[in-house]
Amino acid sequence: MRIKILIVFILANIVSAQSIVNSVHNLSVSGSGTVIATSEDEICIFCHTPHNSSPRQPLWNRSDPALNYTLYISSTAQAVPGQPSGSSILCLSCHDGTIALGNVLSLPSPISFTGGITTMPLGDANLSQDLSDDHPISFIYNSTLAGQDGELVDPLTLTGPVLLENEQLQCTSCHDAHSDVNGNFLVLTNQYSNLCVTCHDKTYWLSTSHRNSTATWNGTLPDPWFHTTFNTVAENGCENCHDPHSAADHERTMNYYDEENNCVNCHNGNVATQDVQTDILKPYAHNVYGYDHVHDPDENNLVNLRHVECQDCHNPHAARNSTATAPNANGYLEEVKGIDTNGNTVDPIQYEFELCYRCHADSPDKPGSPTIRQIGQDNVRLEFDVLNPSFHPIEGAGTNSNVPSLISPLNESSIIYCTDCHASDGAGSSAGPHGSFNPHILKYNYETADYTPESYLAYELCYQCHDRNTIINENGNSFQQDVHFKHIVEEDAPCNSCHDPHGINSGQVTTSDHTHLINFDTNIVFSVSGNLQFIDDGIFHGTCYLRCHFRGHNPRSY
Amino acid sequence: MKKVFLLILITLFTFLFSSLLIGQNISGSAHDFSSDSWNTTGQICIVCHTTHNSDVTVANAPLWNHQSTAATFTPYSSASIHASTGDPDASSKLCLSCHDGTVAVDNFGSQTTGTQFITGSSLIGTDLNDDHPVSFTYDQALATNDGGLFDRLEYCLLL
Ligand code: HEC
Ligand code: HEC
Repeated sequence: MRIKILIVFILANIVSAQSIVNSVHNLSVSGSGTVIATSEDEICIFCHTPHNSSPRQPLWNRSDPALNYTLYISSTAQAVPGQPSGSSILCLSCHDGTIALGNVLSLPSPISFTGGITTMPLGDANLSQDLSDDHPISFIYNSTLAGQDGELVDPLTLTGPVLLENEQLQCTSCHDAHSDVNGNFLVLTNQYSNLCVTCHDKTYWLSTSHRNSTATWNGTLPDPWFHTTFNTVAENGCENCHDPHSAADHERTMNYYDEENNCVNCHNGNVATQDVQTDILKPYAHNVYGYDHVHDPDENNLVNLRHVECQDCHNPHAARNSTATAPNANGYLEEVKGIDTNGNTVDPIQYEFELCYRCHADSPDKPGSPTIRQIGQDNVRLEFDVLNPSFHPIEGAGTNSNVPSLISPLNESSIIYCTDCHASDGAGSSAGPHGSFNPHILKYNYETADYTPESYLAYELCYQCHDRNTIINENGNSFQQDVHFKHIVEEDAPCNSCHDPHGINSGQVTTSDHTHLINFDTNIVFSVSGNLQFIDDGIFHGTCYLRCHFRGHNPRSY
Repeated sequence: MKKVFLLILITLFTFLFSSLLIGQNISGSAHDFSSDSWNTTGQICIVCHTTHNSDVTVANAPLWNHQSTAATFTPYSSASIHASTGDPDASSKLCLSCHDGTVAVDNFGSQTTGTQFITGSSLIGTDLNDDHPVSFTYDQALATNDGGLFDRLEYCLLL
């Protein structure tokens, strides 16, 4: 009885998927794959011979391919891959497509294949001799490398199934040619990126949404997970963006050549709830479509060559859904680099504005200021400095302790984000400055042209925080009547003609002229008798020397 | 369960019988030296066996009549092998007594000055490093240790 049970058990074992017999590596006539021999019935012969093997281990029966492979190269990799060696060269004797599958050492003429197949047919299994689009192999992976890289597991802790060969990572570290239980002959399933994270220990990965989200694809093309069989963001893990073989973008083996496609194919409403793609395609946007391969993750914090990619502001290995209070950066901006208030590099940023300063501060290629003013300044870091006579409270609370128009809960000590003004417009749009129908990626409408009739919509942006009735109160105090109501409503002058919404750099002013964000638009406000000046005379009092709408104030006080 | 067992038995029997019937025996094979000019006896078995006074250099050799090899061999080795391979012994050593190329095929009986040496693809040589390992202990412990080997019991039942 015992024996009978044993026999049944043994038979079950043999037909189980553990064996090479049922895998596509059974190239013999009994194989179940599409690439099989016409009559050869030996299974092992395609790779092994009992005698006169070469290389001797593991009794190899095939010739080595020529070593003129194009190797993987990346600006962010510390590993130095050499020409394929060890067992990798054995795999490549079929998988680079140069040597006929049936060419074995032990037979005088090649084994013939069905359909006239000789070398590996084009497709996923044919890696070609260009290995620059594949995960690097044949490099030393030791504790030193792990230390240099900072995001690799110390290989001394690897106890299997991922194994190195003479300290080198080879094809066999991830693949076992004899067993296909995990698909693709992987030594471990890559569901939840189990295989990748055996070696890759990306900082912050454990908390990112790209590891943890259970979001699924709604079925609208393109298929964001075209090379896996997994159905959630979490299950796809690294493979949401990376393709370990024949990757469209070679460096860092990305799924798509154009940087943004690695993001928008999920962030288009098909997987992630927020449709960022639609915002990006709006007329005023951080146009990630406008640049190709200018960005490099290894680039300086201070952007020298103007460009924008999703990856400039977001770290896909760290980004997560979590809020923060100004000026602190939120979870979407986790682990990204920036420039601090003093122009020094910070990595990672603590405050959101430090991210904006990568491009909008000391960057040589930064976008210019749209309004020509008395005091011109394109460097927003200088405009928002807390030592300035006035500034919108981005880096710290503002200087004016008396701002009655502020709508609760805002008050004089509040701090706001750049993204409170610069963000995608419209209800339900994505947070952050992705794209808007309003110029300068403003979240709300903001008219800057002279002779704009006042309306809530005209200065919708300002009125989000500054109560419209308080600002233009016809029956209010003399300041409200004579200054704001008079100019904004009666003269149709835009807020922007007198106020500089960012701030006025203290380094460029000599007097206290520029409190209250006063910095005239010199296309609207002109000098009178060579004098264009605002003098702060205390709370709600001031004096102006200027000419505007064909009238001169030389000076006029309120 | 009974039926399965029966089926296996029938299969095994059929297999055994057919191999007896259609399998080739030694005469006419590469090992049939009865008509070679150097074998003046004209006998098949004599090149390897003798009924009396057999050579016992190799332990348990089956009434051995051929000179045994005294060569030093390089065994197969590999980083991933779990079996421990040493010098070939037992029947492997008998085979190598012609196939290592150091002993002449016609060195049998009292003959020690033979001239017929194996060449070509049948020549294994004394470097066994490019050959499947032989003369190692293949037991359950090895199978367990390796993970990619059948337990010997399973293996025997398979044949
Ligand atoms: C080329 C050498 C060679 C020739 C020729 C040869 N044998 Fe053998 N024989 C062997 C070897 C080696 C073994 C031991 C290994 C094995 O069992 O196969 C053996 C084993 C045997 C055994 C088993 C002995 C035992 O104790 O288990 C018998 C019986 C035998 N041979 C009979 C014959 C007969 C009969 C012939 C002639 C028709 C013959 N052999 C020809 C090499 C040879
Ligand atoms: C007496 C010497 C001798 C012994 C002992 C011997 N062989 Fe051979 N064997 C030969 C010769 C000679 C050939 C033919 C070589 C040739 O054709 O070039 C041969 C051929 C072979 C072949 C190739 C057969 C073919 O059709 O090409 C195999 C396999 C083989 N031997 C296996 C063995 C094994 C296994 C043993 C031990 C069990 C053994 N031999 C013992 C002499 C021997």
